[in-house]
Amino acid sequence: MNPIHITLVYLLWIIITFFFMVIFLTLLKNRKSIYEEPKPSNEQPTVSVVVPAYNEEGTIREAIESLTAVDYPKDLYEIIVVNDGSTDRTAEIVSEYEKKHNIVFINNKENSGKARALNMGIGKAKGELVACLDADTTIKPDTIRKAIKHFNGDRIGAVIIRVSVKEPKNWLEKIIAVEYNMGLGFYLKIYSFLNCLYLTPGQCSVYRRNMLLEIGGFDEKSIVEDMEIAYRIQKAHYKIKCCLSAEAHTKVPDNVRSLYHQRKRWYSGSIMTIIQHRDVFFDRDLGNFGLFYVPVNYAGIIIGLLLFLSTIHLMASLILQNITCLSLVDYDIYGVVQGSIENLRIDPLSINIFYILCSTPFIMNSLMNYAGFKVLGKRVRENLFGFVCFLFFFLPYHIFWLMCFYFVIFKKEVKWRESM
Amino acid sequence: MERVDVKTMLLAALFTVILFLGVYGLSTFIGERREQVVTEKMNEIIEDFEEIETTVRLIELLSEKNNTCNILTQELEYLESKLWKLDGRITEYREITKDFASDEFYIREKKRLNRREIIYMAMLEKVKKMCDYEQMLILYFYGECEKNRECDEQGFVLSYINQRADPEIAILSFDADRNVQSVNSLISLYNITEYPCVVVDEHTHCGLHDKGDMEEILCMYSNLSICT
Repeated sequence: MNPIHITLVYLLWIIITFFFMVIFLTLLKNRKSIYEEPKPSNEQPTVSVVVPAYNEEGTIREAIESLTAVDYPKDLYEIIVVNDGSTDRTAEIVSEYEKKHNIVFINNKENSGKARALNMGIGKAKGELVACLDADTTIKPDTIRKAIKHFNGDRIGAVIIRVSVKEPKNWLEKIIAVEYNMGLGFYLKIYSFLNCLYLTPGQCSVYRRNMLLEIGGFDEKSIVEDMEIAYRIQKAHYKIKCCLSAEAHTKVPDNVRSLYHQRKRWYSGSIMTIIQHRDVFFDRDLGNFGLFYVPVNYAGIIIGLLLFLSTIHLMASLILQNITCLSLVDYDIYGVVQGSIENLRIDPLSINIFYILCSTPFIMNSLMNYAGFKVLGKRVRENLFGFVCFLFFFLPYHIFWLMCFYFVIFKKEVKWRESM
Repeated sequence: MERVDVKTMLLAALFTVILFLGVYGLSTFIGERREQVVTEKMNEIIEDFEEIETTVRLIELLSEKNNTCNILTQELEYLESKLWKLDGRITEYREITKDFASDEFYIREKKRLNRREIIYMAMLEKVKKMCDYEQMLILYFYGECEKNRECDEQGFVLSYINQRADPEIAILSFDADRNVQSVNSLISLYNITEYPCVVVDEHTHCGLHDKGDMEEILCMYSNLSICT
């Protein structure tokens, strides 16, 4: 192994371990308040739900129906659907509900992007609080009521809720279901305790309307507007809270191609966002967000990628060397394997510090995922396949991240929606 | 200004250091066990040498050689396989250790092993004459392996041949970089100028040799089973 590879192993180990320790200690400290709900104020705020929709004929009906079933006084609640130039039957379906449920319907002829559609909806919204919901997402009747309880202070700018996968069926959906439970549930809750939430999930989040107007709404140039706005909320010194008891269900990619497009947007957008808001690095005024989350997270990503590349290089050299060796014995693979089996000895002393360093983050990750499942009231047995596969999901993640760094560095165009 | 959770961060840093020390401690413990195993194996080999030496003296005293020679040649074959395995173990353990800790112990043990191999070589020659024993001796010299990949490649080919021709051949490998006086003497005796280099039946063949070349060289000097 070369010294660069060894240094990267040490560095990544330190970063990952420190990160898990912070998460573990925060969980331990706040274990009793994970599902704690603030006392509701006497006055109920008015709430507007904005649903941007582009070619969502297959899902919009379910989304609207879940919104009409919300347990909240009708006079304090409005639904705004923004059709963003759909070319399918989305507008027609929304029109059916428009009169029946008194929905505010903004019907754009041109597709102008999700952020713009959201801003248009927010512009029309009358509620003190604005919930933004994806058109392929549904909420439970008590979701809004539970989420708004967390707006119990002037400086609370947004409340995010737990996003789960709607009926995961195939292998990919099952893995992503674990990812969403952890990444868009458990970890976001822990980050909220540290006040370093970097994301207000686009699937469903609730914002204070005044704050949205103060910070200028969603960035219409961003391809990850839900992440970009979280950075501005943090910079404006508003807090983002997480309500785990409120839940939304969403659809996720069910094939590798769709996953690729989703991750291309997410990770390229993340890189663009961190470049745009690079001033948050080590910003003492932002507390844990500027001094812990952003530096540790991005150092982890960059060092992880370098280590990934270094490992590929190492493995390629090893494979090449083995091929060269095999060529010297006329590719007598059978003979070589037979000899290896004859001389095979299981020697626990062959384990070196490198293996131990590599396995500890893996063990910590498994334990943390297990703890996350416990916190979320899930059973590992229910989705054992997803649980195990998710532990190895870092491999495609690294490939996606590498590609996205390439897209951003070489200024390749990444769109919110790509033709499938 | 937002609050920094200093207490959590410091505790996390402390636990990270503790965990690292734990990992390092475990690694050191395993490292010590490795050294212990190598030392034990080396002591076993030394004992075997003593045993063989005693048997040789016994043969010199006795008129009836047959039975004793059989035992002796078996012991030699067994010792050769032990030397080969220990050589592999030292190389493997050194590879594991050198990236993270000092590999001085393994370098020292490799030197000791090389000296033992030379004693083995001398013993083998003696036993060959005394007992009419036939075993082809291959001396494998390697050096500058950090830069020269051919070291590993030649080692691979020789391991392959050894598997197929054992116990007709005995391979002794010498690390030319270790500056062992007796190894240096062999290097000059056999006029070795480049690495890897093999000496078969007193004949020097330097450069990388694949399976075909090696078999050709071996079959030039002896009628081994792999030659048919």
